[in-house]
Amino acid sequence: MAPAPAVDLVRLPLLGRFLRWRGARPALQMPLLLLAIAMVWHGLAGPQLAPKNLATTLSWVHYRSILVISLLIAGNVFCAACPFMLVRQVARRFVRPRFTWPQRLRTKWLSLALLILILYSYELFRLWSSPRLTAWLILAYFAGAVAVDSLFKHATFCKFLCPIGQFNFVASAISPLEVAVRDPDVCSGCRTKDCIRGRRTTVAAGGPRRGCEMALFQPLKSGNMDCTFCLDCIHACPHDNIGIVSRRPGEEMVYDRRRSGIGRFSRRPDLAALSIVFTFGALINALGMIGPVYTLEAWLARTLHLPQRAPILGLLFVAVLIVAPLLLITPTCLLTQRLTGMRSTPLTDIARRYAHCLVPLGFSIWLAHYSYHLLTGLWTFVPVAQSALSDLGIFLPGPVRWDLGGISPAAATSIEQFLIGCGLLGSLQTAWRIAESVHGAAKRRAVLPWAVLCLLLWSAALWLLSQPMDMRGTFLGNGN
Amino acid sequence: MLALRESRTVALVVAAAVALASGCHRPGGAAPTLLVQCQITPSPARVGPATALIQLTDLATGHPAPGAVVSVEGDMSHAGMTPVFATAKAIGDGRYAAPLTLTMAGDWVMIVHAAVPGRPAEERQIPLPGVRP
Repeated sequence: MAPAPAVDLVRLPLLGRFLRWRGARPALQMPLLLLAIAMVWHGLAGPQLAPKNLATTLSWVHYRSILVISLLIAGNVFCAACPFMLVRQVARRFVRPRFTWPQRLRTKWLSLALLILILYSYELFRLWSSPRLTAWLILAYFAGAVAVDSLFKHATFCKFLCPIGQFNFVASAISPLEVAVRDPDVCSGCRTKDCIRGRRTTVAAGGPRRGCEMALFQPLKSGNMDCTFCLDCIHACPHDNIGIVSRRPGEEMVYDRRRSGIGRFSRRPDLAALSIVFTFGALINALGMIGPVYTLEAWLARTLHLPQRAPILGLLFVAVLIVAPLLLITPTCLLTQRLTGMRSTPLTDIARRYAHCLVPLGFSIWLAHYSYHLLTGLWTFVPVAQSALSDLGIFLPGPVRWDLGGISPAAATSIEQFLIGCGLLGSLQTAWRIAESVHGAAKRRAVLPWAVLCLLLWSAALWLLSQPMDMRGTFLGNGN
Repeated sequence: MLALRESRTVALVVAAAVALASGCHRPGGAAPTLLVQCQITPSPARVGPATALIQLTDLATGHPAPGAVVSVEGDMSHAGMTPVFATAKAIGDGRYAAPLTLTMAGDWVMIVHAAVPGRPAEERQIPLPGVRP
């Protein structure tokens, strides 16, 4: 019998009982669904000034910040509480999906493109300043999830399309919890495999239990990639052998064993690309907030005679998400190859294996950036909610507290620097452990180029976050 | 997996929320009676102390509107930043001055609230893009 993990949420007295309850996921989803409805309503019908609207305040200040913090301290709980899946589940009562997702699209490439599209649209359409567009984005998300999963079986939208989901899957590599089998010996004796097949039981016995829609077979599942913490496997397992257990954060980026529903990381270029875009995407998302970048964009616009914003932003995205990774990672792989004397190993193999070591640093940049917004605007939801309620005719006692904010930007900047320092340490340690695993005795030489790359990216992030925050001015000066 | 009863609950909640939301809207404002112009000094605007100079003109007569109670609220275009507030003092000829502190570089929106005695209060949003560090 394997040693018991230090923590198993499903075994905790009250929380465990809640998690074992089959209504747990809808109970988590319902509040977020109501919040999403409120955001859509206020985004479309409320004041169109971002700081006074629930859609923009909750989306761009609170939701995304709390999401990354929850990934750091727990796991992928936001996928568990995803309101899109609640509506999709209701839609599936009326429309049964008939198709299976095409085999050649069963990769992360499409979702990676959608993730980049979301990041690009955020900048291009200034989503942070537009309640209406933010509301439409939420509605488009609901429509997309329902449409795709009404046509295609299983959790196609989550596994192959959802950009937020992919972000969560990559980031949850550093989470301290994962859904995992408690005792592998129990699984070896299991013949029914309910955790993936599901279980048909009578209504008296609680009705049918769904197996994993993400095609993760628990005994062979490893890590958080593709796991939405939906609790289906926990409810389906007749042996009560699946828990939400503590583990060493980042461990899953080190080993390269075959994982159920995923395969080996080293054979998945799409997963390596996802980790790279996740990391460099953190930089580009924060780059949009500092003055020097506006100066560069304005210079590009003048030099290239491009008065429109879209192509300039497109150039910046290509530079940061494609050119910079190629220019930095190619020589890093080349150096690893030469220093370890493994000249016959293709550079792409090295890249696929090591790219994941960038994730802790990338995550820390996302966390630092979003924490800045959360900490400086922590209480801003209070006056916005007060104002929205008064629009509904619900008047609360006392004045609307527009003076409520958060901590000073200077204090938030110190916290940002601390966080990316932790991210650097996490990436260095992960690179070291990958080098140990891949190159054995040559680990010191193998890790050196990756350590330099991590330091370079950390320096870039440190410079970026130390710039005076410029709450996204219009770089062309004409609203373009 | 959702049971039929739970699905109905979700559908009911969604329908009720949509119905409630669609029945509510902000009251439409009365027709404007004032022309509100706002200028920020120093120009171009920079982070730090600034003054909002407001000119109120009666749209019916074309004359300056003195005696109004005027306040200014500065909001950033990005959510999550605390707004800044100032009460304006009359400086004559329908002009008012409000001292403000612009706390961060970026795009701002000035909201001018003006109440002329005997008329409903009016509000204007005036963009202030590109406040420099």
